[in-house]
Amino acid sequence: MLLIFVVETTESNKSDEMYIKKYIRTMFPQLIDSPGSVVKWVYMNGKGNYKKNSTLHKIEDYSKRYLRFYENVNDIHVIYCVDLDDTCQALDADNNKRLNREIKAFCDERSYKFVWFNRTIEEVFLGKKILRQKDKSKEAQKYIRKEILNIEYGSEAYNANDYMEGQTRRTNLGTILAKL
Amino acid sequence: MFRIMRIEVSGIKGIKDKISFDFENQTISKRIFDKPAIKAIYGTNGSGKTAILTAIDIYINLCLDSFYLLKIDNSASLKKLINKQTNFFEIKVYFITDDAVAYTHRISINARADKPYIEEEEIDRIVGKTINGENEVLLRIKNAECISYRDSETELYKKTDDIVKEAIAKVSEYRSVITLIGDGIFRSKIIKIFNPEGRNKPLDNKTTIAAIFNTRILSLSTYVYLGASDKHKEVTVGSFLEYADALKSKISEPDKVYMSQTEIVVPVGRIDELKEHIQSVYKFIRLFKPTLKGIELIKTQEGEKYRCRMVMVYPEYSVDYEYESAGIKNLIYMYDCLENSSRGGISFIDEMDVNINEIYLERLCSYFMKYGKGQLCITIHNTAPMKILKGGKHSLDFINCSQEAISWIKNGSKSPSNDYKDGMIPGIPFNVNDFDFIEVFGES
Repeated sequence: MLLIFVVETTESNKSDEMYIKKYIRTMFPQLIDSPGSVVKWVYMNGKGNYKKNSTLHKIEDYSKRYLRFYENVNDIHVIYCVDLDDTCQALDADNNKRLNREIKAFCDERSYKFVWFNRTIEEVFLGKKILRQKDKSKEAQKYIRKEILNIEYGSEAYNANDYMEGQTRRTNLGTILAKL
Repeated sequence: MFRIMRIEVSGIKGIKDKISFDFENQTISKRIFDKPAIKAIYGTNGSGKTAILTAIDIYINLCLDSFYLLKIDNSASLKKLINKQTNFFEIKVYFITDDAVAYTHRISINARADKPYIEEEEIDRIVGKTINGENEVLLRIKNAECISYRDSETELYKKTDDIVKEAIAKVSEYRSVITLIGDGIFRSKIIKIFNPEGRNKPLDNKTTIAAIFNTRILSLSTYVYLGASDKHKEVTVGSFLEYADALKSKISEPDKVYMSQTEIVVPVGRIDELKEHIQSVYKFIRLFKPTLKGIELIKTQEGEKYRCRMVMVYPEYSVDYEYESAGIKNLIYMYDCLENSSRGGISFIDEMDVNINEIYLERLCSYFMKYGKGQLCITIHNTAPMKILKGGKHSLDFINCSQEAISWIKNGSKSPSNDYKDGMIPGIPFNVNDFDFIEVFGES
């Protein structure tokens, strides 16, 4: 199985990857530890780049290379991981919602999985917003060092379904991963 | 000359089930000898690379040492090396002579008893056009009893059959039939038939006796270097003279030359050959360390043998071999294997990249790809040589976490190094990131 997580952060920051990987390692270790499971990360550098050529090219490159050895196209899962946010950089609340819907529609069209964090991945895992980019990686590093986490893994907060109406500190990450 | 075409191994260290490596194309043909053969085996730590070479080392020892299984140290170490779940080790070697006659030799060791013993041994000649084709059983021994023997068709060879059968009847389950060739009485009986007037008559490769001889010479021409950390025996055979002797006369047995970490023991009459050899070692090491001015041999006579120490000479000082850097010592140790492969022999080197600068490593691999006459099989972690190795057939293999062998198949400009590092080789996902170590080393 090839899991391609498409995350919002940059390759140098990797904070999204840290949270998601810690969660997978705790709740779904077989997805990381099984020799038959390849986990790759694609960095969008902002959710607005969700269909940028560089993002799509990377997904395609991993998929093609995987298929050279494994052949079964159904074993490839592309998982977009997106903060729902209130507002996003230059976007106001309405346009941010529109962008979220566009990404969701894009994922549906391509049979990609759409994982959302309400409102941000930091709010889901840390319970607080991290505003400055340079603090995001530091906070994520602190988080993954912890043996016991401040939110119980596998709780309802990680298994929500309705992304638009969901309460804050919720995500559908667990729901999506459980179906793989 | 010989080439190994395939090796199948099971029941060694963590390898429970059969794992198979192809070294050449499957067609039995003299053309196999036209091109150099180098194979690199990659895999994560603990995937079984060393286990494969350990299996080959055991095989060579079984074929060369009549007392291998009777020695307490070997017996104890085999009990530890053979897979704990199966307690049963098996190796099957497919090889071809330069006359394009191909054989298989299979030995299985049962380690369920206190003392491991040979449960089965079989030599077949491959009569089909490929190694997967039909086999003719030449010899099969089970629990020290010969249950199948292919008789020769000519009168001359029928005489050898009687000698071989008589000898096999006396071989215990602790000794491979191949070691018979090391037995002076057995050998002289055979020589009397073939060389009554000192003529050097070649053996008919289709006969059982020739298969036994050829397997013995294969063993003599195959060197295994496991590296100092993986030695499961006290003395390493650095037998650069052995193979030369074997080639000179297919039925004479060579004088042994032993090389350990501290000394080389050589028969008095062969000291000049050793000096010549040390001069070649010096030329080799100089490529890596140009400041080296020479290697001196300090020798002490003990009866019919010389005990020799190597001293490395630099412009301002000299260093005893024992105190030379780990990298240089490793290169000296590997030299015999590399030289053996370059002139037509077969060598297996475990973790060849240990202590070798990546650039030298690449160029060394490139030499064997272009100019080597024999076969070289290495286990390795450094991915730099992949761009050279990807051009050859059967040059690049991987052992994955499920202990399966995966062969790299050339595909245009596709990079094995990228696919390997990106976890695309089946069963080697490398799902590890730099930040995963934060959980281990980071402050709590």
